[in-house]
Amino acid sequence: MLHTRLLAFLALVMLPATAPGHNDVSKTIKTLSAKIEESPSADLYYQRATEFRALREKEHAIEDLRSALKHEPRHRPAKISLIRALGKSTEALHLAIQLQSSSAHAENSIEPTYLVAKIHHLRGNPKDALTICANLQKLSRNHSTEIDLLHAEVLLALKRPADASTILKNAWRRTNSIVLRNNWIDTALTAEQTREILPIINREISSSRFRSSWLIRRARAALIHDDKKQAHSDLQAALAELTMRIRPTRPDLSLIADRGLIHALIGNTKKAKADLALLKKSILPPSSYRLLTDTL
Amino acid sequence: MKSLLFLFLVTLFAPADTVSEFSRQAYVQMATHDSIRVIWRSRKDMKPRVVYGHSVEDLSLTVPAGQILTRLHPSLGEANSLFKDTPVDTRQFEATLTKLKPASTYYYAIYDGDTRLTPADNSYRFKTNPVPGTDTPVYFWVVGDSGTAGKAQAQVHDAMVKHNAAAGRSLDFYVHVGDMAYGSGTNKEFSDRFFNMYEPTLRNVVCWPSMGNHEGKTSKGATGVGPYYDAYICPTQAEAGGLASGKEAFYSFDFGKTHFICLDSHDLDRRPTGEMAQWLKADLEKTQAEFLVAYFHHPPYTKGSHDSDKEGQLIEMREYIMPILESGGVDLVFTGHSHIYERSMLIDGAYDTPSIAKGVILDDRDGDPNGDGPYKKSQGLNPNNGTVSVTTGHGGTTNRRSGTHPLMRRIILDNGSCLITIKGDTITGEMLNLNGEIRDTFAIHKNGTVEHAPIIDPWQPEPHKPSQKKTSLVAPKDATELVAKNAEWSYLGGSHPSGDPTDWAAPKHDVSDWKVGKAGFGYGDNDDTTIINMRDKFTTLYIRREFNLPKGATLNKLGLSVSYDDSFIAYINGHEVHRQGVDKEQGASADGFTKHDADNTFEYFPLKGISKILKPGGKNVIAIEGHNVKLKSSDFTLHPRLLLGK
Repeated sequence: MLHTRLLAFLALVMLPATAPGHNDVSKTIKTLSAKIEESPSADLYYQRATEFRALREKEHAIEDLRSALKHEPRHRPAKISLIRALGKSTEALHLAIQLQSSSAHAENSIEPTYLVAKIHHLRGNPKDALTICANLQKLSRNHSTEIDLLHAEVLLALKRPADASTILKNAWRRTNSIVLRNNWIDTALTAEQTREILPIINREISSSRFRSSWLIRRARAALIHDDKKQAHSDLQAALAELTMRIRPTRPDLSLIADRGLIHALIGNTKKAKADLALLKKSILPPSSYRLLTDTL
Repeated sequence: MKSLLFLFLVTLFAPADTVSEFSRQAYVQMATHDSIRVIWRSRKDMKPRVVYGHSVEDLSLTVPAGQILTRLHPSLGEANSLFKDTPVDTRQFEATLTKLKPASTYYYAIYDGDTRLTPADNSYRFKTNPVPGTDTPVYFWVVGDSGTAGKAQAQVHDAMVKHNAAAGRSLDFYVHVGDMAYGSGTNKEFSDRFFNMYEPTLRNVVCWPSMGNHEGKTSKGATGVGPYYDAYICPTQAEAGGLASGKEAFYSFDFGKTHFICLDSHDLDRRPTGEMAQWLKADLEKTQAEFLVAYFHHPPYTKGSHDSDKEGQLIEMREYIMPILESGGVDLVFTGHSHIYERSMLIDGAYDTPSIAKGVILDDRDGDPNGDGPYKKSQGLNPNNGTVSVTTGHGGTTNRRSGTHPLMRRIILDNGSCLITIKGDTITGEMLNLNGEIRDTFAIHKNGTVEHAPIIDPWQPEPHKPSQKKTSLVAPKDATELVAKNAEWSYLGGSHPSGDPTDWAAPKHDVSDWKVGKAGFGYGDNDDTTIINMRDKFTTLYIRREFNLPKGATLNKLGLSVSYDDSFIAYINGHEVHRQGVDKEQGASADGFTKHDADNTFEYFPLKGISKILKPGGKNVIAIEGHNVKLKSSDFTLHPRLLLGK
């Protein structure tokens, strides 16, 4: 026992003071560049691409991912990263299809198949995306929630909110994810289905610290039922809360999107457009204020 | 050295707590107010059983084998399999202990059939959480970037254990902000660099983790697959409070009146439209807690070994996630990734790139209860009422500072960790270094209504000046040569010395198998006496020799005069006395070299503050490691003299 512990101690103290850690990205790139100069490999190019991506140097990252694939055409992480980096381009689509068809196991094919669907969706081909999403749902019962969210987004693009709502509701029941539940509620409102969701909305209003997003949802439900008085009351309450929550400078922009939506629903178009203009100038992607855009 | 001796003694005389049946010792996970998980691994088949109760002597409750989840290698085709890099014969056992009393201490033991595997030792215990919302103090430990299995990691852990023993305090839990298993978070790295290192703590304290980029090399947040997700059980269904995320990658839990939020800053969509940000917003809207602490790996504010103005993940966490957290009323944000301790002033709205101090600092004092006084915030969670951001990536790796972040009140290059207490209306944070010294204390006092106006011209930290030691190109004229030009040295090239990275420089190290040659050493430039054919082969050369230091010598008049290309680290009697052009570490791990040409000149470096390591009237040893910036370099030179001024 004593001998074993002595060895354990020696093993501890003889280990290097620092294992290969992750340091300054520029220096890591220099180190990797020197290694690539000496003995290039797909892994080294892939690692350097990851570092370039951290520095937001997309072009360099793409160049390295291409080099990685030249060295090792089957380098899966490099291929997936390249597909993601190339966005909705034709090349990205071709690469994703190629990776999908070369994935031997069903489990390995899920990610490239998802990417094919997403690229189709981004390229404005929701019908192609939809077919693939439907297949993905069948491939694995416990699939990633990303697939459900994309599937619903595609159905919304095809103006099928009721179907999107069903997908999200089922996904929520499978995972309990609150994001899926809230997306289901929002999609159900777009589909003008309020029966199942109103009890949840009311429960959330009574139990939440911040209630504005739930008051907006209840107002949308009220408008579906032409209850303008309830809608107006909820929207005013939501606006009062947001006025307290929104920082005058450098605000949480997601709250600006909520405020813009309230103004749009109240009919205060000028203020809604002012918020929309603020959002359009911001770093937020347009999808984060789509409901405001659609309402206006 | 004292700490090494301590480690040795601890290792030698520790209670018989490592049991060979375990390939990963027992540890606890996902405590709630009425349940907890006990997990362990074995390489042999067993009939697992966990018994537990309110004292070591009374373990009257049982989780039988049939209720213990056994997870196996994926090749065995069972559900809930472990990651593929796990040894094929590994079994991971996960026992869920339910119907426990809140805020209560239980003791447990693991059995294989009738054979007890864990000793009858009161360290095998756990305490359940209080019922969410109850007014119970919380005391927790925060560590980041520690997973090296090196000395610093062990010392940081040891310092915390000793600090708590001296103070008579016990941790309620432990938060790790990522990079707990360098280099790729493999199954073996988790065992060696996390579980083995923290085992005495992990058996009775739950670690709530967030994934670092190193774990992210093998584990994926979107799918929850990999060694990280095998090691931890995190809430997906709001088991411990908060809202269900459906994913272990991001989650929340409640402890008393505090709400804790973990985010995955590494490999998930960080945009406001992403699933994680949507969940975060919903979770913040729902919580009724009075304190709010968030943690994730990539720091929104740092100028340590990483720069938050330049790197995408860091920028996105600042621009996309911080606004949501601050409008949700966050009090404290802990991160890692950058190997440094940086603690901010009370800030709000610092989302710009690059970060600027103007208009975002609400209180520029030091926040120290014994200094300028604690920061003040309103009672409860209020939007944009001020945040303290702490980068705590100093848990075990070499620290580095690249600049000065304008929001920071404390910037400390020292390995350590954070100990946080939330009691009554006050949050108190302490940074404990690896020697057990408190290097920083801050507090946030939340009472009444406090309104802040951003300070227009806030206090600013001193700008960072890279530590370039001053050199005088000319040696003192009256100096005596203790080691002369072209003196004989023992030298080693083409391999690294055995032992710890600096063992070879110690007086007792045996170099009888090293070659002997006259300085200078190197190649190219025609300025070397002993030619070392290192081009394309190796970049480091080690040299050492003895020298006599006369009795009565003026010890602060010692200096090195060196002709060098490119960089070097010098030691006397095993202690580093000067480094030139090497940013960090030493030997095989040395990195961050600065190119330098010898130019047939000797530069003089006075050696100050080393009198305690010198042996006047006796034999001393000088040792130098020379580094070339790259293998293909056209030249290398290392030619030292040791001088003693009058």
